[in-house]
Amino acid sequence: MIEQAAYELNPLMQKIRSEHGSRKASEGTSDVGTPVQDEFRSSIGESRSTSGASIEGSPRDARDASGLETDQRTPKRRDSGKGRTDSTSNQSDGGPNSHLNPISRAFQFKQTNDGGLNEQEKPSGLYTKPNSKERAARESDQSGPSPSGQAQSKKNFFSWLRSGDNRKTSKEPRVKRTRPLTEKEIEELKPDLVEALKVSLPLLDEAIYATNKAHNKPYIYASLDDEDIDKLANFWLRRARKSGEVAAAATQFVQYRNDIEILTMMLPTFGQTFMFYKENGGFTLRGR
Amino acid sequence: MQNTDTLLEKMQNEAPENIVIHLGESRYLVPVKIVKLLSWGLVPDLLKDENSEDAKKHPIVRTGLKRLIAPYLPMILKKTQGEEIEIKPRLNILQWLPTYAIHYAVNLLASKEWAIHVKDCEGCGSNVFQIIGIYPHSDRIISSPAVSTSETPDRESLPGRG
Repeated sequence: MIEQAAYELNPLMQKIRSEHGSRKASEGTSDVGTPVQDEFRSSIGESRSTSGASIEGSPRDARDASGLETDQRTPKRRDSGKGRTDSTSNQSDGGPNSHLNPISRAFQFKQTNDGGLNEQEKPSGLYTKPNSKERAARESDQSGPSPSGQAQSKKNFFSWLRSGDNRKTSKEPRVKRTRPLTEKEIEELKPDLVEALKVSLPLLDEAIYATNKAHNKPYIYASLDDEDIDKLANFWLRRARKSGEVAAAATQFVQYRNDIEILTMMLPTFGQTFMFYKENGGFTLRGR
Repeated sequence: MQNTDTLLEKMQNEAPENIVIHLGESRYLVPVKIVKLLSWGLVPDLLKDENSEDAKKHPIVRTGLKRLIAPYLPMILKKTQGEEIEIKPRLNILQWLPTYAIHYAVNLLASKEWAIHVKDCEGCGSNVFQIIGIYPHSDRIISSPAVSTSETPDRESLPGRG
């Protein structure tokens, strides 16, 4: 409003208005309709070049400036058009208002350089219709994230519950994948793997012994002799030669051999403790 | 509680030395060790030696036999020994079971005296006999009460001891 008042007081502007003001008002009001705006939006780069030409002075502008195009609008209507901030009409006609609002012109210049796809920066009217690019951008916004993105977000939604996660997505799989074993590695690993199998297989029988209701001692996994275990290890290592995961399992199994030995020691002890209580009438804290 | 290793040692050490055979009026003593050795020689290599050529030719047969026998081994031991026997893990059952069977069978033979009844083989030539039956030589078996009464003085407590 302050700028508008300064403009009204400028004598040069008053002179220009007295000479050309009627044409400006008529153009400002006549461009209110939506078809002109849509045309501008759909060919915004083209309109910029048009407006640039109008600044330099196109033949049509020269004709307009000379007052050949008459205006039949009322002064009231003119005044209302003069106060509009819509710069599209100013730019399209190359009238005096296009020179008077440099901020608006700079804004439009930025729009055209950016391609005009940003909806927030773009002037929007009630009846404006989006162009094809804008429509595509809106549809992509409304359709939401892609299914793969949804799955990823669901997958990561509870990641903060895991201990030590720090809300960062860990992309490492649980089993660290390694390359398949080579012939030399197989030769080195086989004795350890055989030993680990010898130690660990009878444990399964102990587990069955401790967990079956009659507590009968089975002879299932312990019946595998050295020859069978050797075949089992050969089978495992043959697979490990082709698969990295099987190779990782074999190396980890060998690494856990000490743990297996501890289990071999403790698991039968637990079973014997349980059997002792069972054979002696159960557990009690009462004295005799 | 005995296990499969100690059981074999016991069967080997506590076995009689000879098998007593009565043939007509004669009495023969056959060493148990030799009988066991000959019996062991009759066991095929496929079973008793995992490194033999037969075993390498037929690994599936060996594995199948092992899986077939293994579930019955606890029951076999319980029936033959009359008590639970702890089976050692990773027992080579194809080697162990023939050994156990030979020890058990030969020791059973040696626990009695046997009478072999023969007759002349007609049409086989001179000094050729045909076995018509093998029976326990019951006359020579000493009854357990007789043994206990004969050993009674040895069991008496020594003077000065309660």
